Amino acid sequence: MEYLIHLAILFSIYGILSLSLNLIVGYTGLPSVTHAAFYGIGAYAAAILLVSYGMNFFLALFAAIIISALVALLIGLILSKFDDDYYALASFGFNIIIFSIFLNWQGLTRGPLGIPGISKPVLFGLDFSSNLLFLILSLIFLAIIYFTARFIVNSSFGRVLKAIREDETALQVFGYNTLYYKLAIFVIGSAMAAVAGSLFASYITFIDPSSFWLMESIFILAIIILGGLSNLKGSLLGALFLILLPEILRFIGLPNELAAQMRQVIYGIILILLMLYRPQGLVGEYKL
Amino acid sequence: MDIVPQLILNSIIAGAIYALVALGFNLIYGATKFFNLAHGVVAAIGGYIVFYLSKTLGLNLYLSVATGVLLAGFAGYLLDKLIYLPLRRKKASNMILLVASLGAFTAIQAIIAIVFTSQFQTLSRNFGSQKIFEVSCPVALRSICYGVGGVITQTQLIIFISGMVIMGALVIVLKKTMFGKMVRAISDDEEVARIVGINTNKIIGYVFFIGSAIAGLAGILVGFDTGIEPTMGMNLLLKGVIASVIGGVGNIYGGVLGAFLIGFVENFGIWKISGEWKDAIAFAVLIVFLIFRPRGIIKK
Amino acid sequence: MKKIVTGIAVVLLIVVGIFAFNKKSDTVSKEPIKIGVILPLSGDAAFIGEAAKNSAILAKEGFKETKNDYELIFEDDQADSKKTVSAFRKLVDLDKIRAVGTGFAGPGNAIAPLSEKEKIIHFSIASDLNIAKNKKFVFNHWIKPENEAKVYIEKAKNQGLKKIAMLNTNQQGIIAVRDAILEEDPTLFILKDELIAPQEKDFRTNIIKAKNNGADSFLLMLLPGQLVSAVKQIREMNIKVPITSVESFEYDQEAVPLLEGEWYVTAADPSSDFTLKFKERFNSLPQPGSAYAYDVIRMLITSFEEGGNNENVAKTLSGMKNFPGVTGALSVDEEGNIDSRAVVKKITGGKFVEVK
Repeated sequence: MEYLIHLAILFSIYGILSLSLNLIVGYTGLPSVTHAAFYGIGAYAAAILLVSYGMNFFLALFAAIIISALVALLIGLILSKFDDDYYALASFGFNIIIFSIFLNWQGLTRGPLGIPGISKPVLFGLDFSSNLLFLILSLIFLAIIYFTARFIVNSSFGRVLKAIREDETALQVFGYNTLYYKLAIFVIGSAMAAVAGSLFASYITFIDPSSFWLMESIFILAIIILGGLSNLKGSLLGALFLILLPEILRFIGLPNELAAQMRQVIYGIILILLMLYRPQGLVGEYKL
Repeated sequence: MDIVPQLILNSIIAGAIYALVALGFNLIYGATKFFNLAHGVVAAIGGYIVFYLSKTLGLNLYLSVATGVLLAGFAGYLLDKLIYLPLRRKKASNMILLVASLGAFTAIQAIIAIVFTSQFQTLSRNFGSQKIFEVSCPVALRSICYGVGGVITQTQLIIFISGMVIMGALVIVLKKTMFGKMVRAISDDEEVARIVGINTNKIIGYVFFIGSAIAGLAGILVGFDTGIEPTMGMNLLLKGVIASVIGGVGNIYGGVLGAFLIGFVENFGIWKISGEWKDAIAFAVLIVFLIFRPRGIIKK
Repeated sequence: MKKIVTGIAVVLLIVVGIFAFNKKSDTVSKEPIKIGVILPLSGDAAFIGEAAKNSAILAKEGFKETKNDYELIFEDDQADSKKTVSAFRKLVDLDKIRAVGTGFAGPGNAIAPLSEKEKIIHFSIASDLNIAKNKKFVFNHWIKPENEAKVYIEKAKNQGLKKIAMLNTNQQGIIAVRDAILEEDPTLFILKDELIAPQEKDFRTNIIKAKNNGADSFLLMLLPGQLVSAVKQIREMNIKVPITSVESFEYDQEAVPLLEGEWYVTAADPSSDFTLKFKERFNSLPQPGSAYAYDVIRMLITSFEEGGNNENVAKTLSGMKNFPGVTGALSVDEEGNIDSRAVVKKITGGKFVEVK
C-alpha cells in the first residue's frame, strides 16, 4: 500500500510539472527545454529555507515560488527574443547554466553533497510526515494547479496564448503586446514548477543537483508530448504512464543492468513513433 | 613549456575537435534546416566500432578506423531513411524532427550502453609511445610569445590536420562539384531545387552519410585522445551546436571559426575562473551571441 | 480515442495493484530472510553498482552452512534518491525485506529516516557520516575522510611536498575527502577551489595552471577514465613531478602502468585475497565500494544468524567489535559508523603494495 502511495505522490509532483510545462509549450508554443531548472530552484530554495532557517514549509514554499518567478522573469525576457529552434537551444543553455550553479556553488547548495534532512510540512500542529497525509497534501496542490491551469486556458488570456502559438505576427498586427503574454505564462509555469520542487524536496528529504539536470527537462517534455500538447488531462495521463512504466519494467524481470537502459531505449522509441505516427500525442489537439 | 603558448595550443586542439563535429552538423543543417540531435550519438558509434574491431577483435587499426567512419556515416544515412525522410514527406515541422532526433539519440545511446556497458574505455593500445612534438615559438615572435613554446601529441596533431583537411575538402566539394552545387541548391531552397529536377531526397541521404561519417571520425579521434563512453555524444554535440550557431548555422567556415572561438574561450576562461564552470561559460557565450548576433559571426 | 486511453491507464493501475497485493499472500513456513540491495545498476555510476552487486553475491556465496536461508534482491536506483525511495518501497511492501543496503550519500540519506521508522536494518555505504547518526537501525560503512586526510598529510610532509596541485572531481565521495584534507592542513595545497566536472576529460589547462603556480606534485582525486586522461596529459606535457592520490589509483586499470612508483592513500587493505577471489569469479576488478559491500553483506548475514527480530539484530550489529572484514578488523561505534584504517600504498611492478 505504501508503495502505491509513494507512486501516487510522485505522480502528483510530475503532474504539476507537466501541467505547468504544457501551459508554456503546448498552449503558447514556446519550446522551453529548461523546466527542470525551475523545478530545481523551487526545490533548493525550499530546502535551504527549511534546513538552514527552520522556516515553516508553507512559507518556504511561498518564498520558493517568488524566487523562481523572479529568475523566470529574467530568463523569459532573454528567451523571448528568440523563436523556435533558437528558443529551444537557448533554454537548453539556461538549464545547463543553472545546473552548473547547483553543482558548483558549493557555499549555497553544498554541490554534489546535496542537502539532507529536509523536514516535512507542519501546519497548525498537523504534521505531514505520514505518507498518506503527504499524498493528500500533494493531491491538493495538484488539484489547485490543475484548476488554475484550466482557468487560464479557458480565459481570454488563454485564447491569446493559443493565438500566439498559431500566428504571433498576426496578433502583433492587431496591437497585442505578445511579449507580455509570453513572459507572463513563462513566469506562471515556472512558479508552478517551483511548487513541485518544494514538494519533492520535502518528500524525499534529500536533494542534490542530479535530480535537476538536462535530461529531466527532456523527460518532462516527453511526458507532455506523449500525453498531448495543449491538453491538460493529457499531461496527467502522460505523467501517469511514464511514472508507471519503470515500475512495470521492474516486475517483468529484466536483469537490472538492462532495465534502466531498456527504459531509455523505450522512451526514445516512443518519442520517435509518436512523432512519426501521432504527433498530437495520446489525447492532444496540437501537433508540434 | 610556458603558459600562453600552451594554452593557445590547448585551445586549438579543443577547437579542432569541436570543428569536426560542427562541420558535419552544419552540412546536415544546411541541407535539412533542423537540429539533428542524433548527430552526437553517431560520433559515439564511430568510436565504439573502432573499439570493438581494434581492441576486442584485434583487427588492423587503419582498417578499424576506416570501418568506423563508414559505419557511422551509414548510421546517419539510416536515420534519415527510416525516420527523417518519412517525417519530411509528411511535411513535419522542425520541432517534430528535433524531438524525433532526440528520441533517436536517447535510444541509440542506451543501446550502446547495453552492448558495451557504461564503462569508460580508451582506444589507444600503447601508452607512452605516443610521439610528442615540441612546438616552438619562432624567434622573431618571441617577445609576443612569452617564452619558448608548447607540447602537442601525435593524436592531437592528427585531430588538427583532419579538421583542416576535411574543411578544405568540403569547401572544394561544395563549390566545385556537381554534387556540391546540388547540395547548395537544396540549402538555399529545397522546394525550388526539387522543381528544378534535383532528387533532393537522394542528395540529402548522401549529405547525412558524409556529415555523420565526419562525426564518426570526430568520435574516433576523441577516443584516441581521451577515450570513449556511451554518453560522449551529448557533450560533443552541444559544443558542436554552439560552435555552429556562433559561426552562423549552415556556414562551413563559420562553424569552424565558432569552434575555435569556443575552444579559446573555454580554455582561457578556466585559466582565470575555476575549471568547473567550463560548460556554463560555453553556454553563456552561446546566449550572448544569440542575443547580439543571432546570424552568427559570418554574415551569409 | 479517449476511452481507449483511459482504459489503458486503468489497466496499468490494475496491473501494478495486482502485483502489489499479490505478493502479500505469500505464506511459506520457512521463508528466506530477504535482504534488499539498492545500487546504481545503470547510468553513470553503473560500474560501481555492478561491482558492488557482484561483491554482495560473492559474500553470500561465502556462507556454506547457515541456520536461515538468505535471499538478496537487487534493485536499480541509478544513484538517484527518488528512485531509491521507489525501490525501497517496493522491497519493503512487496518483497518484505528485513534489511536493505544502499550506496552513495544521496540514497543513504533519503532512505535512512524511512528505514528507521519502519525498523528495517539499513546498512549504507557512503561518505556521509551523518546518515547513521541517532538511528538505531541504520549503519554506515565507509572510511572516515579524516583518517585518509591525516595519513595523506603525514606522508606528504614526510616527502617534503609543499605545493600540491589539487585536481578533484565534483563528486560527493571525493569532495568529502578533499574537505577533510583541507581542514587538516590547507597550506600545502594550490588550486584548492578548483573542481572538475564529472564528465570532463581535458585537464590540460588545469595542468598548466598548476605548473604555472609552481606545483611540486599533484593530488588527483578523479573518477576512472578521468584519471587515466589526466595522468597521460601530465606526462605528455613533460611534467615529471610526483602524482599522488587518495583512492583513485586503484580503480582505473589503464592508469596503473603509467603510475609506476607513485604513492597514494587508501582505506586499509581490501585484502588481495578479496581482489583475487573477485577477479576469479567475475573476471574484472572490484571498484570503489566493492570491498565494503562484501563486508556489509557478511556482517548482515552473521547478525541475522544470531536470531531474533529486527530490534535484536540491530543490537547485535551495534555491538560488533573486530569483525574480520576484508577492509580490516571492523568495529561499530556509538553512532553506527564503522571505521577503517587508512594506509599508504605504492604502485610497484604494476601492483598495489602497502608501504610501511
